[in-house]
Amino acid sequence: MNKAEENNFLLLVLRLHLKKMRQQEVTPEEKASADEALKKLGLSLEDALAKASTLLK
Amino acid sequence: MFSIDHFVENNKNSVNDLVEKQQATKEMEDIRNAFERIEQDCAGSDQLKEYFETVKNYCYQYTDVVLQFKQLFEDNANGKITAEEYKSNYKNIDEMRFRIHNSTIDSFNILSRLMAKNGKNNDWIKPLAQGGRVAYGNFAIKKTVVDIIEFNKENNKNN
Repeated sequence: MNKAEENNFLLLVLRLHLKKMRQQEVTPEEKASADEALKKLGLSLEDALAKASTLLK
Repeated sequence: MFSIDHFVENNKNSVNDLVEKQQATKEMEDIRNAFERIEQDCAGSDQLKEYFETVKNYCYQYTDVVLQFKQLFEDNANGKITAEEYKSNYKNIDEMRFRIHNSTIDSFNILSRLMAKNGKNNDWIKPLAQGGRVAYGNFAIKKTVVDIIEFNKENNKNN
């Protein structure tokens, strides 16, 4: 996985979980891609979210 | 013979990842503690409690718009959108980001003033005021991530 792919996966995971927390609609496709992204990242959700937040500077 | 320098050189990426991870975890812990203290101080007043929720809401909105902005950069860099799409989306998202960033900063400042008026400690605003727009923005994003992590923990407990 290259850096660009990793960044995209991290953003995807953060976006989906932000939507969930804000009670916004999450489609099954979005959920599936975020789950898949997390699997590919090989990180816990907590680590992925912390890492994603470092991209948003 | 084992040499720590040799080990670090050979495992530079893993070591950097680990250091980054520890820094991020520590930062999250600091933000969690700071907000816990603020929330506790707001607990005794309906006005402060309500405004604390407003601040949180602005933090979430700000994170959302920064995410959109970052995604736009990624999509442009990866050729997923045309130059025209990038240009037009950039203008829209940038304006929105600027507006929400200002509202987020205002909400922190108002909460701080309200807390002072109610005799509560508002020292937490000092590093933000010193750090300027970037510090407010980072604080808001980290707070959002801390809340998402807590939200997930609660969800997992209930399921």
